[in-house]
Amino acid sequence: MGRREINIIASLVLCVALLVPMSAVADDTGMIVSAGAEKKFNKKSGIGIEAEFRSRNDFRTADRVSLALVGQYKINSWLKADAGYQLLIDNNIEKLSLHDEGTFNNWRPSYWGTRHRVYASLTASQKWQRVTFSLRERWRYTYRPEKTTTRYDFDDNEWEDTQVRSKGKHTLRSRLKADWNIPKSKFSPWASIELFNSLSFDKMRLQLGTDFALTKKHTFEVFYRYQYVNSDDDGDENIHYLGLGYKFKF
Amino acid sequence: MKKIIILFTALLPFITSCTKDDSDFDTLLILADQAIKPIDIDLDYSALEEAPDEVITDPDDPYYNDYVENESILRTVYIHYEGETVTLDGATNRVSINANGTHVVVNSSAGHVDYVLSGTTDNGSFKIYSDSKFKLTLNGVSITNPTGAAINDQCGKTVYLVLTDGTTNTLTDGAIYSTTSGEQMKGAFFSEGQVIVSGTGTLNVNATGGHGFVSDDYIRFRPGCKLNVTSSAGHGIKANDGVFIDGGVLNITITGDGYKGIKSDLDVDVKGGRTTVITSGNSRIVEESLETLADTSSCAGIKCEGIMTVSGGTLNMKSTGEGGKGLNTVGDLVITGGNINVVTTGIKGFSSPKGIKSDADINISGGNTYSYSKSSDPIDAQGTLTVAEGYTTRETLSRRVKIFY
Repeated sequence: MGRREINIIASLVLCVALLVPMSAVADDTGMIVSAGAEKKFNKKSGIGIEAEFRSRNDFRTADRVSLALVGQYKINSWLKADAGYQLLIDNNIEKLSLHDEGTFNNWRPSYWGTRHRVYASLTASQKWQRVTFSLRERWRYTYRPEKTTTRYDFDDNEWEDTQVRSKGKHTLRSRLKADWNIPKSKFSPWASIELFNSLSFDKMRLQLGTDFALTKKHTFEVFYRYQYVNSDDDGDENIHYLGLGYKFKF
Repeated sequence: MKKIIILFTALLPFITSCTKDDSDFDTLLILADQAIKPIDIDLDYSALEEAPDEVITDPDDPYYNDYVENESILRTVYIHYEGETVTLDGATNRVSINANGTHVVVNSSAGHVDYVLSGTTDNGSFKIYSDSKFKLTLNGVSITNPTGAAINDQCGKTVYLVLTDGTTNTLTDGAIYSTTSGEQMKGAFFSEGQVIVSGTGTLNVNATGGHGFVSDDYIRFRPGCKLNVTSSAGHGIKANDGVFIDGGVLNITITGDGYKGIKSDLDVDVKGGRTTVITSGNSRIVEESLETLADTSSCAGIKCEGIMTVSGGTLNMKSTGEGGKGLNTVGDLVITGGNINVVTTGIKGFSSPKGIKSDADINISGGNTYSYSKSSDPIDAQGTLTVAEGYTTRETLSRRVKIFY
């Protein structure tokens, strides 16, 4: 590892160290660990698969696992498209509901549930010197099937079954990303900002990371993500993530 | 070694993510109990300052005959219980008294008679057949009847039940009643006719086999009287044709499932006094057959099948059993004065433990009404709930209501 690579990693760590205190102290922290594989059929098209694990509650609680299948197609030199399906298995956070005077109504502990997600994206790219800027617009639809779980009713002093209703949600994700191509380096730092909108502004992600191409086939990724939640009904909260990824290219 | 490091690195997130982030359930239960505290309601035997009773003097008034002051007492019969024996005094014409041990049976065709009971018996009773209304004075008497009612009034006319000042009287029934064919005997104190309770003495009623204090007509409590009822097998006070609380201090404890502190098949009218009812029983199934669905009966401080009116006095109601209610009326509930305090802490089950419930309308235009229900509505009108303007406090929460004028 040369001096330049060390400088890049040090800069990344410094940026993360500066970013974390900027956010509210009460925000959660968690980890994202992913592993994927990619196969290109030709210069224009390919497919991929990725498994991901997330934690929350200061790394102590499993938050979700997912498996995604994606197909990609390069339309021209600056525009590419992709579409995919993702199976999400979520550890839904507990919910305590209150009466209007503040007394407890019922408490539903955390439970595991399944969601299905499909998405399609268009990504436009423009290179400027050694930095490639890209804008990705992604539509996604997430469906949560009905689920029977349990909750404690404080009025009746007993546990009871409760139905979590099925729900579908459309979201538009808009991501602006900058990738820095360092000559003769295995590191490729990047930064991005992404906005999530459904009927209103849901959340925002700020990310800073770097890819590390160990070989042509093996690529690792480390990143920091801060997720700010404005109005989200999926139980998400403001959270700092430390991300680790691995990708294998056939 | 490199593989071990890679494997450990891969497993580390999963190892450190095996903790739940749920709240501690036991802590939630404690917090739930501490979240909102209802007022304390307990039996209250303290003296009550009451305005003198206004005796109706107009003979045309429908309730003129409810006042013993308007009745001329011409004869007095003294019945004194002492262990296994009974002493009689003042026997008169047209009044026949037979005693089987200390079980006394009076047959009377005379009017204007005052029967004065005193003494103690553990195996006795007082039963009366009378053609006319009469006065029954409890002058420090304690009667326990292991096989039925302690006092059994088979006269369908008014009985003026007078509690002699400074005396404590106790009536206790048995767990199993031995009934006479063609007669009813519904409680420790039972009357076929109206019962007008007056005087300033104390009457304790302990019911274990039936209701406590019962009339197949109506019951009126006048200021000054003190009645304490405990019942494990029936209602505390039961009347077919109405309950009128003009005054007095009533303390009623109900422990049986589905029973009421006060049960009236017609109206209830509260003008004064202080009535405290505590029920602890749960709901019970009262009817079930192949043809009919099961019906349930829940406890209540007061259950009124007619219209209930509160214009004065204090009602303190607490029900702690499953489905136990405070005030429960079939007809309208009209509150124009008085103080009503209701607390229900039971859970929902067969029935909902509502604080104040009416199958019809609830109209509030005066007084102070407080109702708390831990598990249900503090106030619920199946018809319309109307709160007149002029209140000083109106708090309507899902578990507590305060309406003060």
